[in-house]
Amino acid sequence: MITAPPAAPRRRSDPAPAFTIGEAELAPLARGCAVLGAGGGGPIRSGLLAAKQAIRDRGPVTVIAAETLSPEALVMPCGSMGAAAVADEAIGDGREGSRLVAEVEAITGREVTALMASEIGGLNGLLAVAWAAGTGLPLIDADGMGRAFSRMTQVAMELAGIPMSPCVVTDHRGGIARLQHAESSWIERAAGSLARAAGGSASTAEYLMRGDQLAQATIPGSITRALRIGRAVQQPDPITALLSDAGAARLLDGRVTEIDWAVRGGRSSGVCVLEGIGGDRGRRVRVELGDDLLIAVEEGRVIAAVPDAIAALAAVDRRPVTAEHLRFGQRLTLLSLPADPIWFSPAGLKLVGPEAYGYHLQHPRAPQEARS
Amino acid sequence: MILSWKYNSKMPSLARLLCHESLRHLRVLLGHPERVEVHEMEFIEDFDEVSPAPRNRLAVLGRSASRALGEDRLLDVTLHELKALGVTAVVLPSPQHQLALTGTTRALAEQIDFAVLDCVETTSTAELLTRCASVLAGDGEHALRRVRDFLSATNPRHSPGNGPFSTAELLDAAGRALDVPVSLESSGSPGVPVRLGPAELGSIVIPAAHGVDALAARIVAEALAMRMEQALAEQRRLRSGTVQGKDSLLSELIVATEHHAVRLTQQARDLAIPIDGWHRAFMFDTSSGGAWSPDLLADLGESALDAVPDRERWLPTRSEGALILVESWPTDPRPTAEGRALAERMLARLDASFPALALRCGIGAVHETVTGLRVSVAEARVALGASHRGRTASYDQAGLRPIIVELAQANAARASVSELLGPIIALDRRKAAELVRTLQVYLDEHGSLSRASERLTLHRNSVAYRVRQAKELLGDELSDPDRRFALQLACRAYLLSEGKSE
Repeated sequence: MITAPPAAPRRRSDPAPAFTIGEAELAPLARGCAVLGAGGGGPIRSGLLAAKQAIRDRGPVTVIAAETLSPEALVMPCGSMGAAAVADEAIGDGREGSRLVAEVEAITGREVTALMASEIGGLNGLLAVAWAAGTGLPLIDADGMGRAFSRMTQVAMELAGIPMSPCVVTDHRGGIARLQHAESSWIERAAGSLARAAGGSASTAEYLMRGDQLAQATIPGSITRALRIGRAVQQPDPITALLSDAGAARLLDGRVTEIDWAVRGGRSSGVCVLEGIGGDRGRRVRVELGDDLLIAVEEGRVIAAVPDAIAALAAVDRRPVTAEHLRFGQRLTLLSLPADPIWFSPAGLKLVGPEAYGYHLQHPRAPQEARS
Repeated sequence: MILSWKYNSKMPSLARLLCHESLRHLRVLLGHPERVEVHEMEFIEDFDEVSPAPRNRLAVLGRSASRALGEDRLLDVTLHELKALGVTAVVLPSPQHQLALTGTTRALAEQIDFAVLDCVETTSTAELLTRCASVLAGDGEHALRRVRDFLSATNPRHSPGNGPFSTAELLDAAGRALDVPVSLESSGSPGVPVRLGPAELGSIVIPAAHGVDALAARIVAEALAMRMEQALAEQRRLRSGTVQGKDSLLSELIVATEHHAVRLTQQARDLAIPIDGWHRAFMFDTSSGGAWSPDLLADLGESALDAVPDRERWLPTRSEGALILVESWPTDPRPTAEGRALAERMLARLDASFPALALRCGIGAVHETVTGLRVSVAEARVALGASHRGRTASYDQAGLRPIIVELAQANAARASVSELLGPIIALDRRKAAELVRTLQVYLDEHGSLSRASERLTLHRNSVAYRVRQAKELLGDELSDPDRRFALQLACRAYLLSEGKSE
């Protein structure tokens, strides 16, 4: 399945531009992607450096709204997969985007019109910017998740019935693989195996869409939202700004008093307990951990849960803390950011709700019919 | 309320269940069983199928539910949801080592009074269900064991120091056997009454139970009442045991002849009875008639003396079926506390314990030595006889005259006076009045010729002559105290009727 090296990037005729992302926008975008990582999403730092380098080399990225695309346009969602620790060190050759575009065009026989981040949360929100700059293609102001999730298939395209196949996988050494199968789970497993074979990390493109499919099959406005959140975090009072500008809800100001990890069902899972401080003294919140912060529980009641994004901001610098970096004694502000309504259908909750992570419980925001 | 004693801690159902032999293999993982109430059983295989119910339930989890609790259910949320549905405790049939028990889970279990238990050894669900249901319903064996525990713990042979158990100890033993607070409430409370003689001391109250546990509670309550009555009686017997010898001796001394009294007086000194001091007698009898047993007399004496200060100054005794309480002082106590007030206090105490007896009290005056004791008892008897218009009557300076007047006016009394003093009254009135007056003063002064002569302003020999003359006429040497006292009263009654009283 490993095929030829990628072709060189090419510039195309642009759809109507909405706004651009230059170096100045990268810092707030990175902070916003980190918050939407919801405790997961991989290392921001390497994505930020890659995007900065690409923009310096090739200029700003044009971000366009989904509805400005022609119905026949070919949109390529893309991102990386694998272990976060590897992705932070194996920074790639900077040409992964170009190889993915070339391979997709080779498969489809059509030119790719625009790129889209598979997930806005964490590393992938920034890699999409880097690859758009590298290929000279515009970036759609949308993504597949509206935050970060653990799995490739936890995207709006899957929910909308867009085939995952064909899927293109490339690694940092230029290898390329083409995966085709009717079952998304098969492709996901195969891509995971390729990523492990490639050293623990790989870049992929899948769920290829026409322009007229985007409205039903994506989370719109994701880049705009990430920028808004990132700018709020840069305010002198970031919590207040997040509550007012980004629709966040404050769950608790607390200190980590318990942190425990175990392997559950073959996956690493943990639990973290925060005890309230300041005005929240006397409260105690338990947070279930997977790759992300999954569920927050207080006195036996779920106060926030996937697909809503739960973010832990360090009191000391207001930077988001990932699940794997939670430590005893940390002082944090726990926030919840509402997920896109698309996820609250029964099928959406099954794909990305608590049940998808092995928790048999009702989501507090689930509609009544979904609960029953 | 006569007595009240309660457990400080509550002992509700789950803690009680876990004491049962067949559930000893259950281990508490979360919560405080002593704060968890369970009334019914439930089997849970699927948490989504649990329905709400009003009574608190203990749920045994099936294999699937046990796995779900450990793997795909968030324990905090599950506990909260189950509690809302009326489940207050869950039991897992296998040992649990992987449950994610965080501080939030522990705090929640304590906050909502929920318990999570597992078995230290894997037990089949069916067996666990059977055991729990059996214990919850209360099985006969367990109920019998409760009764046995109580009877064994309160067996008088097991009493520390072989003394009787205290009321608190008996209530404690019943509480431990039944695992519920047991109390003795005021008379009239619904429960099993505790009686001592005719008096009801209170009622044993045990919280309501169900099934055979209710039966066990009833049996224990009845047995507790018996044990308490036995123990109280024994306590009284022991308390009065030390004075029983003195009681008998005093009783004998009061009625003894002069000669016999000398020997008894020495015995009294040997028993450390302050016989040579000053004495006052209180005599108690019933208006309703009837004889009292020695045991009841002892109970009455102990009960009355509970109301007096300086308990050690008192000795109980009896005479002709009546209760006598003797108050003694080493020196002349007069003026002393009003005897009537003391008598009223003792009667109030006796009324509380023996309301059906309708007791009265006669009070003698204070007199010195053994002779004085005998006189005071005789005075108390007279006062008692005159007390039908009130609860108490005292034979003292203030009370003497009304009593005598009353006696003198009674036909029966006049007949007695004629019978006692007949040979003297038969003399001419002046001579009779002279002899009766001399005899009265002589008797008042306990046979002292010198003091009598002082009061009568006569020569000692003249008094001696008149007394000898009276003795000859009456054919009596005046050695019997009762006879002497009767004569003393008869003299006064005669002189009153003749208008020659002091």
